[in-house]
Amino acid sequence: MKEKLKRWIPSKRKLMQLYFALLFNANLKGFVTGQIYKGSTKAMCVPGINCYSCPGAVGACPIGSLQGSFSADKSTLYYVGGILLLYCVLFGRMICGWLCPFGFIQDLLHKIKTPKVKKGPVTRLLSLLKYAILVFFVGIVPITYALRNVPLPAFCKYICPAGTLEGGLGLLANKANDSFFSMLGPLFTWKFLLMVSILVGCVFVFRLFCRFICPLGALYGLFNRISLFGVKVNTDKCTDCGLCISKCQLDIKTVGDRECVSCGECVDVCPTKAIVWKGTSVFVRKNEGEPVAPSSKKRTVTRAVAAVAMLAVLAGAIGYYWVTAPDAVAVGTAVGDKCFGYDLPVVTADGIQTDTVDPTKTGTVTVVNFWGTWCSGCVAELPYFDQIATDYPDVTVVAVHTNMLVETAADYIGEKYPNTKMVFAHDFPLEEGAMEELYYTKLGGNGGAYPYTVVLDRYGIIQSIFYSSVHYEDLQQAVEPLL
Amino acid sequence: MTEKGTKRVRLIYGIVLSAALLVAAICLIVACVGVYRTGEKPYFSREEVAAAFAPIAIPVYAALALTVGGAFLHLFLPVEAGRLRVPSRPETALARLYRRTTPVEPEAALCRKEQSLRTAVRLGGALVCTGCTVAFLLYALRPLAFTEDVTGSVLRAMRVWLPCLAGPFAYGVAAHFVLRASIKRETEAVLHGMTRQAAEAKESSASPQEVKKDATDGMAGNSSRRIPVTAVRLALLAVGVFLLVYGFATGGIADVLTKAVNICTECIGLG
Repeated sequence: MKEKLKRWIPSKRKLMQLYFALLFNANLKGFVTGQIYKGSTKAMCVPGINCYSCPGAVGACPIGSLQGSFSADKSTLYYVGGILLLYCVLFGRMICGWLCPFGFIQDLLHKIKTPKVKKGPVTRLLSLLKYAILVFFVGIVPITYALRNVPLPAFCKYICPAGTLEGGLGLLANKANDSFFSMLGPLFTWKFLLMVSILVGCVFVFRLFCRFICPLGALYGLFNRISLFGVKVNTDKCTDCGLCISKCQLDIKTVGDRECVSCGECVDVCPTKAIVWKGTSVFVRKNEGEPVAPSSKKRTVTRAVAAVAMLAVLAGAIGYYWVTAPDAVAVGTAVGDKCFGYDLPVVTADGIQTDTVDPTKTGTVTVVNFWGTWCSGCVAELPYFDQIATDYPDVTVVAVHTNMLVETAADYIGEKYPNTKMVFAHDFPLEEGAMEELYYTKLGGNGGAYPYTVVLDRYGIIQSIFYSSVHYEDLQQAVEPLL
Repeated sequence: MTEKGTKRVRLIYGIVLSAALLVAAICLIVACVGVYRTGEKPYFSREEVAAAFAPIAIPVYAALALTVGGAFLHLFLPVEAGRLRVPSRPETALARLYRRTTPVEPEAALCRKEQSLRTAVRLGGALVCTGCTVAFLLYALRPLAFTEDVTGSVLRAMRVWLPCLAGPFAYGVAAHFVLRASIKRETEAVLHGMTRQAAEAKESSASPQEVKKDATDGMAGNSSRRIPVTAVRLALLAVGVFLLVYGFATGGIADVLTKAVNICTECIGLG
């Protein structure tokens, strides 16, 4: 019985995976309030796949940021590219084995005791699929649309199960986000189907997403051989017995190749102790059989101190985010309420003017749309608002953009809508912890979900609310009865 | 419980749990599709979605209960002895043979023929991959390939992308078996040659020469390659740091933060 219970004690790698999953999602308050974290740490990309729309996420997803950077300023691409390159060269695919929260979820699912699908030549060939996904969904599609100023994170939108699980379901689970249920449509159906298939597939196939789908793992795998940390084979000792390959559940040809996630399962199984950890010996243990370092007590103390420090960092992070994250924002106005009045600065192609616009005081039917240049749905539906403004001169369309940089929106307006009848306005700059100051929030916007549209009659009373993308016909049906 | 009994219990449990998980997954998918198809333009509420998923609660909870129960069940079962079965690697075995001996005629001719066959198969694979890649790029890089109808464009592109993937995949699977058979034939030829040479050597009382294993043969990372790898690492690290700092200094961080602190609903499947 003791032996069986011992198997329940997690290994060091499992503990590290749990640690980093908690650290990257340390905003536990987000699960209580249903709000995502909006602080400055979100500008830093975490190493693994962790959707930044997860209520607990405290950093940005690297693959989402990479796709977003194609349609943003070049400096964004340099910044994200630099971070990714550093992760690639320092850790390679060791991130997949030790740091990725979604990899941790897959490892846990695979522990469920069912018959397993073993690796073979077919799975080895299938492992090349993730490179095709990297090229098509992370490369060709986002870049093609970015050249037309349409931000499209195609992998996030059409494939990523982490986004559906952590972001979509994570937000839907909280009662504060009941309005999100009105957004469920074909895209959610497809992504839910894909997510369920992948998660159930992970029970039968070891790390199904990592091996066959994950473009981030594909990118890291290209640098596995030269990464600073990870596992490698000491060729002087290797007898090529193949035990390491048989122990490994991934589609490796040799230890440390593009499929290896440096989990270290092969280290103990090598009969000649030829598999070693790359990196400084201060942080990683030496293989058994090698002469014990004279200061083993020093090593034990160092490890104990490191463990305590890591726990302190985690506890500190959870505490910090609990204190600094905003409290639940009461979802405000509803249909039939008098809309909150606000003087929004008008933005033109030259930047902010001194003019302001208050959507409740136009004296006409007013359509208020909250959008951002970073949001593909927002950008895709903006032409419909432009068309409404043109077709119905008695209707005022106010497009309130939420970019932090006014210049980005101003450039966009100048290029795409130089002669529009829409009024572009700028929401107040986001300040840390001051979500309630956004006009978007005053009008009932929920936690930063865009696009968001409110239709007011000529008296400023809310008549319709749209929580997701709209088409021209939707706006027509909302506006015509009010004229 | 005997070992056979334990195996049977594990097998039965595995099959039952697999079936339960698959049924639960299918129920979840059907329920989700059913919710979507309830109307032309559905706007759902939490209550409506909960009502739609309520009928499938039993299979889903049953699967969860079986999963949790199984974890406890395995506490009472004996620990399964892990066996490592080294997969056959014909290429490695052949390489080892070549280190021990060099085939002579007529086996050498057979070996050359098999090597040519393998080269041709690999070349064919490269051609198929290149052809499919070019075909796809010719489609994808056209101006009209991706229009404002984003989802429609992606779906149309996938109708070209998937066959361009399936072709090389099918070729790869077929090539795997062809290459394996070829290596097997070459191995048999080399072994046959070795046996023949040994027999001839015995007759003439000469011992076969053995070639010692080259310690640097075939494996990654000997000391002479360490310097270039270190140089590449350092160079890439320097480039990464430069890009990061430059991007940070020129305001690249703002767009990342904007994207991260706002919810792009379509990106998390809400749409």
